[in-house]
Amino acid sequence: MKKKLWISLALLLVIPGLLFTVSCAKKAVKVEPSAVTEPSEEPAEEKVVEAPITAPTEEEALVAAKEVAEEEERKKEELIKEEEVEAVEEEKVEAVEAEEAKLEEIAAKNQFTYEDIYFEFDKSTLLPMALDTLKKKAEYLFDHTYITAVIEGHCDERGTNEYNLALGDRRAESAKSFLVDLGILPTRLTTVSYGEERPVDPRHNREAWAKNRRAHFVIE
Amino acid sequence: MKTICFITIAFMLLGPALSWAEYDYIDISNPFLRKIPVAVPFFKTAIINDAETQISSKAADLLSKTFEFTGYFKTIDRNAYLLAPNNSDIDSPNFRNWRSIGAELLITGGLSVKNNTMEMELRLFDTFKEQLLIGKIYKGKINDQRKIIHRFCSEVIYLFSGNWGYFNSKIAFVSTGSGNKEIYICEFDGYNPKQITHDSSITLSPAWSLNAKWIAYTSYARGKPDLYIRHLTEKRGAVVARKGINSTPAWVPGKFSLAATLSFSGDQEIYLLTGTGKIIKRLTHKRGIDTSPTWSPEGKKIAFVSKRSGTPQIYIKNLDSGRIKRLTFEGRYNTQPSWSPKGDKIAYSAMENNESNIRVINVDGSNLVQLTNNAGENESPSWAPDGSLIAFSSTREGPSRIYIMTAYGTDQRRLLTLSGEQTNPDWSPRVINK
Amino acid sequence: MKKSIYARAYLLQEGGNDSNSLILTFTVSLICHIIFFAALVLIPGFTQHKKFFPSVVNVSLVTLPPQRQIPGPGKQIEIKSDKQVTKRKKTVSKKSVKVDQKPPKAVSVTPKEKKVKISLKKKTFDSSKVIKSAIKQIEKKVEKTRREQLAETLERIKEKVEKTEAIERLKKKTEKDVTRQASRIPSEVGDAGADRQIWDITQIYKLEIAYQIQKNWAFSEQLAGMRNDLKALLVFKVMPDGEIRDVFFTDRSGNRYLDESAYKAIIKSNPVLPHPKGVIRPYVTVGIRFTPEGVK
Repeated sequence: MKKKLWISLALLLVIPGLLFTVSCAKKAVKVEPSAVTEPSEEPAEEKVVEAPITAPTEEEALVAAKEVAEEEERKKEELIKEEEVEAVEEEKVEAVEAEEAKLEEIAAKNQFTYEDIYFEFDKSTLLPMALDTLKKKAEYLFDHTYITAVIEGHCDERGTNEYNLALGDRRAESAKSFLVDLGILPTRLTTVSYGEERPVDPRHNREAWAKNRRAHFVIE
Repeated sequence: MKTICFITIAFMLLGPALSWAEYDYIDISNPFLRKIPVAVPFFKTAIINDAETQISSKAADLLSKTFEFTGYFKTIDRNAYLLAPNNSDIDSPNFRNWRSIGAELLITGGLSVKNNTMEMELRLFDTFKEQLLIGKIYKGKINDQRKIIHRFCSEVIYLFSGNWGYFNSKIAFVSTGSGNKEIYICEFDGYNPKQITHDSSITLSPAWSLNAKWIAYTSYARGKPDLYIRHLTEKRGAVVARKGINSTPAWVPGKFSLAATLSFSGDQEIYLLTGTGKIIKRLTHKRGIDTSPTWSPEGKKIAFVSKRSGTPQIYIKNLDSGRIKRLTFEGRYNTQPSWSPKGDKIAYSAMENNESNIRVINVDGSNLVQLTNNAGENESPSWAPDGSLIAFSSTREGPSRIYIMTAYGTDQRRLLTLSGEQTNPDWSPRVINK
Repeated sequence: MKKSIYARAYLLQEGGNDSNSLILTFTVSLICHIIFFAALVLIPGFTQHKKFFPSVVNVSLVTLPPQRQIPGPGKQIEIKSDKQVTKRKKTVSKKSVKVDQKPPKAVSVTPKEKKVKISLKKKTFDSSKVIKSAIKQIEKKVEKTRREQLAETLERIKEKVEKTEAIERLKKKTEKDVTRQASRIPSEVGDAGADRQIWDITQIYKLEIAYQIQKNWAFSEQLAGMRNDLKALLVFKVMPDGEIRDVFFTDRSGNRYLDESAYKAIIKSNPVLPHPKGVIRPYVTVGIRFTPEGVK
């Protein structure tokens, strides 16, 4: 954000500066023709009414044309300069935006992968917080239509391995069916149950158990 | 006159009745020793040389240990024996001596070794009746010692209990010694453990088939829980790798087919499969978790875990009639049922207050008993093929180990110790004609 | 009996003056019956006698601890005769005498919990202590009901397993009491009191025997199917010298293994302690009911 600010300030200063230099050049051109016409009128006073005020001579026209051309050139240069500067600025902005976008992208991906949904003991029903998390995941999936994911179902260490294998399966399915209801294609999602075999916290207390009762997403 | 006759007759009839009522009985209800005391002296060797003596003492020790493993017998300490083995006659012992130290049974052995072959004579005597109950001569290689002793023990157990015991059976289990959960097998007494899977991922729930020829188990070798059915000695088998979970194999007794939990339909249900992994039919039809099947010995019923009533409980389904009956009503978490090969009881894991214990209940729902208490987490019960012992896993010493106990919960002891943790034991059926 | 009935019918038909023949037939049948029953009772007595002689010598070392080494057969016999003649009061159990001819080694199936019922000959007792505790014990017993008596006594006996003095004291006290009672009979209750005293002694004696048999009872309930409804009832006679005879079943349990183990338990316990003084019967009949508890 700061960068943007500085950039806009710089732009504000530079552009008027450019305009200013362009206008000064025009005044200089105007003075010269007046300086040229005055001496031609003095010889006319001896032969009083012999020569009326005539059009500028070819020299003068040439000079005027030169000046105009130069003006135009200068203007063009200035415009090009402006554009260049603008372009550079734009590039900078884009770069920044691109970086930002990348960061956002990484953040979103991390959120998708590391934010798990949690369950109550011996249950595979989705809690309200889980629904919110799943909605975010759905958004991500909508934004990245080429991605497929694996949903892992896990349980805490209590209870028996066989039963927990089935329970993990249900938890993974539970998450998947919610996403499918939201509109994600079922072919994009695969489920695997790990039962109690891959806990994220190996301790033997309530805290650990709560962390282990989860469904986890992995991008393929 | 007639009245006198009648009175005398009546009195004579009553007499004996009165004398019967006279006995007052003292009640004895606690045997001092809850096992049969048996004496197993060292075997007699044909020649007294080192090799034979060594074999003989090993054999006698193995015999004693195997007898004690059953939980029915107690071998008398050899220090109490009155005579040295080589002095007594192995085929006509002095019974008085043996009775006097309290032995009700006596086993004598004779051993002779020639080159690499061995001949072993084993005799079982009743010291009170002074009779020979079993007498056998076995011939084999020296390394066949264990086999011979086990065969003899089978004969003895058959004589006493009417069934052949489990001396030729094996136990499969999961161990993390290699860093991952792999399947191991060992003999029924913990001898000679071997690793039989090398998937370097996760393996679970081993299950033996008839005659211990095939073994089925769940493995994550391909990244998800698939069911592997493998022949133990020949390199052949099948994989059931459907979508979802493929778990909890349970072989149909006496047949080459098994039940397993498959969830490809979107719900975890139990199916009947052939030994090559093809589905024969679906066995449960209720939404919700249905898993962990176990067969009744005649193969007509299954007990399984279902959450259909809200918490995991054990149900029994009669496959002929289709009727399903709930078995467990105590506790809120009853899983891992195992049907006794005798057909009358089911053992299972019951979790209450975050503690798991083994419980046994009659098939009709009566007589619920808890066999473990206050001893860590006790799970995965598996019956010996004759229904007299139960193998299970316990964390009572810290890391999970395999334990054995009698069907009534007595004599709880560790089977073996390996590195890592051992869980999920499965006891094979008897191996016949080894 | 039928003969007499027919006879009577016949007689009735015939007339009244044949009542004599009725009496005759009745007496004949009565005599036959008496002879028959007598034969039934006495003949087993003869056969049993032979059967038990050898086992008496062999069995029953189970409770003998290592220390009590008995020197040799010769000396034993001497001692036996000595005992019988002189010190009957000091009821040194004849068991120590009838012991096996071999020097006993460390024995016992069960870990050294098996108590020593045999008392050494050369033990001295503090008689006053003995009397006091004995009196206490006797009083307690007499007050309670039969059932409680049995249970409690068994329990108490079990508790004092290690000490031989317990039983010794018991016996001494019963003897002393009996003698004291006997001396006071004229002034007190009379026969009834003495009888009751003797009945108590017998009861205690039976309990001791039952306890000894229990110690010799080895039974694997699991092998019998862990049932708790099995009952084997056996009855046997104990001779004055402690010899067990006439073991028979009054009720078999139906489980062969249980029946055999009960029988073996009794055989193993032979011989038991001899009759305590005061029990004057030719033999004491003891009935034991074996009822394994099954599942705890």
